[in-house]
Amino acid sequence: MDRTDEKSFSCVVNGEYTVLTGADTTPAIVALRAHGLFSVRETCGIGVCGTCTVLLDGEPVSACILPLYALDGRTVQTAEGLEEGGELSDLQQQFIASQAFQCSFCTPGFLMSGQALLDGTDGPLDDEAIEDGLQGHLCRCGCYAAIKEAVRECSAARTCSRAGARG
Amino acid sequence: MIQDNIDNTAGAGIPNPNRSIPVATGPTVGQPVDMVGARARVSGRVDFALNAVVPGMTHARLLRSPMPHARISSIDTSAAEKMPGVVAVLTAADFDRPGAPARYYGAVLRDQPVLCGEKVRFAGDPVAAVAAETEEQAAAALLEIEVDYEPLPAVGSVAEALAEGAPLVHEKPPLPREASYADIKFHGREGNVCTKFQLRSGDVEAGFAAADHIFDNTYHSPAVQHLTMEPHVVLARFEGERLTVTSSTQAPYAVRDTLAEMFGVASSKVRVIVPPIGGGYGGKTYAKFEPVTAALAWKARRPVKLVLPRDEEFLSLTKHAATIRMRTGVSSDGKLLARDVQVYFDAGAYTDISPRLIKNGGYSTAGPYAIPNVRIDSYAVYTNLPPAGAYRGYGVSQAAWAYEQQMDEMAEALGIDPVEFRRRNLLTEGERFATGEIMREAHWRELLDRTAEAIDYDTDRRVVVDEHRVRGKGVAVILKSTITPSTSHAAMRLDADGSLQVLTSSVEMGQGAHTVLAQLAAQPLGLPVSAVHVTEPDTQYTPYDQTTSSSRTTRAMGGALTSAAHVIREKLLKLAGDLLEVSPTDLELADGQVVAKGSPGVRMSVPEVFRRTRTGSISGDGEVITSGGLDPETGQGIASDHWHQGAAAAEVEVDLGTGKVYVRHVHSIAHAGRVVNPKLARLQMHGSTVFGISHALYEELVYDEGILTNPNLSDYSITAMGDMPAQLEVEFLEDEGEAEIHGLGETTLPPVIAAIGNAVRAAIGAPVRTLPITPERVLEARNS
Repeated sequence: MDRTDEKSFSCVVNGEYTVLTGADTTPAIVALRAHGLFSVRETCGIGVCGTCTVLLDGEPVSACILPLYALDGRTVQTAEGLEEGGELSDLQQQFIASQAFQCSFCTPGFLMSGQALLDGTDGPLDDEAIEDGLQGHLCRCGCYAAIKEAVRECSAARTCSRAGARG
Repeated sequence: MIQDNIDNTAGAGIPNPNRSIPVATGPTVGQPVDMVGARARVSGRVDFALNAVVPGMTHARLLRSPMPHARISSIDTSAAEKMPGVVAVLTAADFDRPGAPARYYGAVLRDQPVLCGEKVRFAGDPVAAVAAETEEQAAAALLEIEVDYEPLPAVGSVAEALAEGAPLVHEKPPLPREASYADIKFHGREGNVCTKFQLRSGDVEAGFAAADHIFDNTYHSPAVQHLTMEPHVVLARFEGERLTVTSSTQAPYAVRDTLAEMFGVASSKVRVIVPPIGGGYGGKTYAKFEPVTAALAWKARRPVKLVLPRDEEFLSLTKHAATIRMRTGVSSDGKLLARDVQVYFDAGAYTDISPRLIKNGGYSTAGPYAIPNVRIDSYAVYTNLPPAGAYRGYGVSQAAWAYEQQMDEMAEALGIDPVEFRRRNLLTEGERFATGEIMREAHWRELLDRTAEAIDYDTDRRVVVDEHRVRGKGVAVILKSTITPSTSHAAMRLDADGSLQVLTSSVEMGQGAHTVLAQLAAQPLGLPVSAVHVTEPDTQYTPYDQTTSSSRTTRAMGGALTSAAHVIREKLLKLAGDLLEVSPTDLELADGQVVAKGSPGVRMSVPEVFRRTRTGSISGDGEVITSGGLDPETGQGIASDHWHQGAAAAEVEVDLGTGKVYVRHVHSIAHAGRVVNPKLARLQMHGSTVFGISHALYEELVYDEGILTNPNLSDYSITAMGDMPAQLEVEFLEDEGEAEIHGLGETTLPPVIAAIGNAVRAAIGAPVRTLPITPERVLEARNS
């Protein structure tokens, strides 16, 4: 990257006003990791595995194929932003209770899409709805059943909230 | 000299001397405690090697051969060296000079060049490496390296490699490494045969002569990728001649030894640190990209970090493609009398751990059956394809794909129920396996019965849903060995505040190793799991462990830790006994207190024992060193210090129009002995099921003229959430009371693949003998 291509992009990351630097086409994952947000991880690099999912204005997107300019003036949430006041979100807590991870490399991506799914729906979710919401995510360790259980339990309790969004 | 038909049936068989410390369910063992560090895992804060940063760090990229087999006539790096940000460009010319590292490495045979010099042996073989200030600069510099190749004829399969006059992948057999492994022996190394394993038990020809039926079938499994979510990551830096490497490896000590040999320094000069890793499945066992990264750091005189790009992950290592010809002789009443097997494992361009894998995969083709006459020849064959190595299932997936398909085919031909046919032949307690060893803790019949019952195998084995859809059920049962002999050491330290520091080189890769090890360490000392801290592997501090592989950690490292905990327990009770004026044998430990048995009022807290005896810390060591080995001519001996036993059953629905297979129900079961953490053990078996579905139906590395055509997650499919069966159950068979621990990491992967295969066969009425069971293969089998 040529230094002359570097620009500044202003966005709100995990509730804080943030300036990210890079070229227009720098992948968002590169800028977010450079900002210390190590929950954003790359597996496939082509937007098909879901590992690097972040929420852009509340919508799940793959940060590996998201150009940095697309973040300008927007709101970005990563797994680091799921906690509130040092408390894990309900979905994070349920992931632990359901043991919905092994190596956990893919977990932040599942959590972001799971949270978006919960935020965009009401009441208990059935398996089909959960599969629809998480189908773009791969877990090689094979925790699908436990992940489904975690989202299902959370949707049934429906006290789940994105930290800071619903209180 | 090789003698066929040696009579090894004489005598009672070979007793297995290996035992592990039995463990009972208690306050920590057997409890479904949360994974240690669970909070970091759900908040994205696990400190993977991917996150590692050190001052002055540069970034590496590799230049790879575009051709499967070619001579290198020249490499010109002069333009690349002048590119912006480039710190070092490394080629073969930098090696094997005074003060320089050696260019060839390998866990068993030193046949893999860090960077190719004279020739390349697969499309993707590294020929140069660049370290630059940024990854982009390193990638840009690669484009400026000019390499001239003279193409050579290539061998793209085992059949081509073994053909008369085939081009040789290695012109002369590579030299064995001096410090290889005790269980590995060499045989028949000529042409493109890397090595072979052979087993001779009984009189095979006499067995066939006595048989009423002889079945002769060939089965094929393809190469597949491990596809860990975290790629290989290595950060290497030198201080003088001291080398420190942070790596996502499953084998810190093997990496240390390889690097020490490569740089010609004492192993104490190399330090390997392993943070938690994002999945391994065998693909990160033994040195992989540590040699090239360390060599770059040596040349650059700067720290170098390599994060392997995903397309290069596909070129790093594969499961062995295997072609297995299996001839089995059976009596009309369904007794297996003789088996003759030729196993051809495609080793790819380099040896890696093939000599062990073809041995274990080789003898495993006898299956969990008592067959009096067995002859097995198992070959590792070099081809001009990416190297194959350790992969979850370790050769047993390929072996079971052959023998469990054939069991069903034979049962049908004989008109015997497949479960009943297996029952008549499964190994029972005290029976002799093909290696001559006496089997103990034999539970195969029970496992098979329970899995068959779980899917109601006896009814509706084939159901026509409508004119387009048909359902079928299948079962499979397997045995799997673990590395034998092997060595694990552990150390631990109880501190004055009652906390326990566990030093282990077992790697946490998501399997929950550090959690179950903490549970095992805590119990003899009466501590809660929260009082235990398990240290990350760091060869400078944590004791030797062979590898984190082979489903061995909970049993082997767990055994070493249990011994160490008992050493500390004895020392602590001795100190407390003197203070309390009670014999140490009359004391017990619970909830951080030393308590007199039967007199709960006589007690003292652990910190108080420390304080009053002016003790600072109490240390203890433990070890598990197993013994065994097989005769190189006959394959007779102790193959495994204990045997993993598993079974699975599946129900599938097949769309006869499209050929697509839908998995409706999978049940799997493994003999666990004692489960240390049911929550984590369950997930290990779920993982095996997900891999099993993937290998049965989707995964295959497809090569065209030696070039991999699908090195990305768009063209290479793995199981996704929507592919999961509506019904998925896992079950453990546990022993009563104090019991030995049996590994669970891989046991149910091979039978899931084979059970799905048998279910498809039941549904469509024809076998698909080649994996994966694609829609095309289903339609082809049905139409033939």
